[in-house]
This record gives sequence, C-alpha cells and structure tokens, in this order.
Amino acid sequence: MISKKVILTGSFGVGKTSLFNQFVYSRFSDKYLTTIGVKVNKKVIKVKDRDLSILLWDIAGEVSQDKVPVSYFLGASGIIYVFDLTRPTTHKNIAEDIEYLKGLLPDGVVKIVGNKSDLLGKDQIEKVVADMPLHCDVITSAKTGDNVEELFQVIGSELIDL
Amino acid sequence: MNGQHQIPQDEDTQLQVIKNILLTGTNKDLGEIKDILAKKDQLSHHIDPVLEDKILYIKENFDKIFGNEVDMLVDKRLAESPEQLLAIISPMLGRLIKKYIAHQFQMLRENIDQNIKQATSSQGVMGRIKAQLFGIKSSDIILSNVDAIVIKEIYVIKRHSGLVMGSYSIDNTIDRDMIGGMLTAIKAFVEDAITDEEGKGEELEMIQYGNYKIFIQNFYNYYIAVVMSGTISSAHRNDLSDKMISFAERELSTLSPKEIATNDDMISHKLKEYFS
Repeated sequence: MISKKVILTGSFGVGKTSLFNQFVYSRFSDKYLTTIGVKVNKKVIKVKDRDLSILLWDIAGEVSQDKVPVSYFLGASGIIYVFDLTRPTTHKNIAEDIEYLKGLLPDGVVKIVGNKSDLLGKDQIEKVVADMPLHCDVITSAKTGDNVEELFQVIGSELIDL
Repeated sequence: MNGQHQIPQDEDTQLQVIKNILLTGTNKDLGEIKDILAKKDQLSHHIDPVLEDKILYIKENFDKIFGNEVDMLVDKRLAESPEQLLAIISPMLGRLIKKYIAHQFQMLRENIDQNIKQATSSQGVMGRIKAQLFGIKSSDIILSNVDAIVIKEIYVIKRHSGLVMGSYSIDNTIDRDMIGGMLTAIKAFVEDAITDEEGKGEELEMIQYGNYKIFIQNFYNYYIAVVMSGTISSAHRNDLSDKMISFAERELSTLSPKEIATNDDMISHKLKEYFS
C-alpha cells in the first residue's frame, strides 16, 4: 500500500484538529482544545481504485508558518493550509506562508482550505475568497463534515501518482 | 321572664357560652393530649413504635429513597474538592505500593541469593572472568539474569516522514504506522525543543517508560527503533547498537532509498531473521 505524510497547518483556532477528527473519526466537538506540539493519525482512503494510507500530522497552530519547527514539515508529500473564513487575520499572511512552505517542500502538493463555512452565507464566502491574494482550493465545514472527505480525495488523487 | 335563661347581652360572653356548649367533650380530650405531650414517658410510649417502623422502612429502602440525593451530594463534593478524595485514597494506595515494593524486594533478594550461589560455581567463576575481560559490571550480569531482556518490536522508519519501511513485532497489537508517525513526531519535538547552540545536531537515542526502553539508532535516511523490556545493561546496549549498525550495513546499505521504501515485506522478514 502507498503511504504518504500529509501536514495540516495554519493559524491557531482555524479548525485543523476538527478537520482531523472529522476526517479520521467522523466526529466534531464544539470544545476548543489547543494542540500542543503535534498529533499523528492515519486513515486509508480509496483513490483511483487503489488504497492510499494518509499519515496525517496535525500541527499546533502558529500565527506564521516560520514559527513551526521545520522538522515537522520535512518528509511530507502534502500540505493542507487551513484558514478560518470568518477571521481575516488567519489568512492575512497566506501569501508569505505558502511561499515559505513551497520553499521547504518544492515537490509537495499544497492545498488551501477555507474552513467554518457553516458560519457564513454563500455570498459572504464568495466575497472572502474573492478578496484573497491566492486561490482557495476547497471550502469546508469540519462541523457539518461538508467537503471534508472531498478535500482528502482531491489531495489523495494528486499524491498517489507522486 | 322568670325561669328562662338569661341571654347575656355582651357579644364576647355570648361566644364563650357557645364554645363551652360545643367543646365540652373536646376540651377534655385536649386536656389529655396536653398531659401526654407534657410527660415524656407517655409521649415516647405512643410515638416510639411509629418512629421505629419508619426508621426500619428507611433503612431497608435507603437506596430507593435517598440514592439519587446521596449520589448527587458525593459528585458535588468530589467536583468541589478532588483533594478530599485523594486524601482518603492516598493512604490506601500508599499501603498497596509499600506491599508491592516489599514483595518485589523479596523476589529480588531471592534471585540475587540464587545468583550468588551460581557465582561460586565453576560456571560463575568463568562468568566473572568473562566480565573482567570484557569490562562488564558484576551487578549488570546479576541484574540481567534476574530480569530477562525481551525484544518486543523493531521498526525501520523513514527519517523525516515517519513512514514505516519494515517492522517486526512479537505481538501485533498497535498500528505500526501510528507508532512510526508518533515516534518520529516525538523525536522531532524533543530534538527541536530541547536544544541549544552547543546541542544542535543532537538526536534522541532512547525513550524509557516503566520497564520498557526504546533504543534508537539514527542513520542518514532512516532510523531503527527497538522496543525492549527487562534489565538492559550498558554492555547489552552496546551489543544492540552494534547489531543495529551491522543490520543496516548488511541488509539496507545495498538498497537504494526507493528500494528501501518499497520493500516493506523483505525488510520486515530480514528484521525477524536478524533480531528474533
């Protein structure tokens, strides 16, 4: 079976752990518990009729990515950069952050994810995304599970052929 | 008008007369009740049987009647003051731990006695000569005989990604990918967090918890982690380190990084052959 390391990163409180829990355990909790260091889990998904084992690293949130220990990113094939659609400060540094991450992992697949879509209307989401300097790949809601599975299918389909 | 009752004219007096007529019998009963209440013995004689029945009923049905209230009260007390619970159970735990330690010491003493007896035998004398020659402490030899070393699990893990390239386990209980990932994360965390300018480049080489030790031998692209239990002397540690290096040289150095990453079954088989 093919195994790939995927990193969940982004500012604090954007819902990385909620996405992680929704993806791995199909559950959501309203309680906010800050992640200390890093948490690792895995899930096997079916992509293009093949099994792909995703080893998912949920990293403690930092305001900017250069504050995260470099060793967490090394060896990763994919990066999921999560921001909160309702908090502009969580995508304020997105251009610099993505450039930094691409510098660390030139061959890595990077996906930008706007989370907490359940808190905004369709028009509001469109406005947030249109105002961003970079293209947002997937809009998710860890709470309702909306697009979470799809997000991992999208990144999985690019990773399996790497 | 003579021979007829004179009706008092005053209203209060009229009421008193009516009361006297109506309550003649009742006043007498009230007087008796007042007497009973005033005399403790008499009161007790009448009430005790009723109270005893009630107490007996409550005793027999305490859980049904007050169970919920007691549970709520205990929960509330514990939530308010967990220290109180600790204060109650700590002495009990202390006694249990003391008893356990005493038992373990007894076992250790018996084992050491047996080892000393063996040491005086010809085999023991040979062992001591060997120990002197190879610089192994006698205490290490005695302790290693008391608590045998068991290799529980071995992993070859890709250095940065934490992906497992091969593994061997005597009991397949935990997901090996999770162990590889988490071990790598812990390693990365420790190496990153606990360092200074002088310590840059230092690597985690051992994790110990209870009777278990995880020895880590770091290589360029991967590392080998061995989970062991038992009393491991410094000599055993050196032997194990040599064995891990020689395994890497013999079995892995000839493979390209891509071959290492895609030969899980082969590496796992070699690990079993080499370490079991």
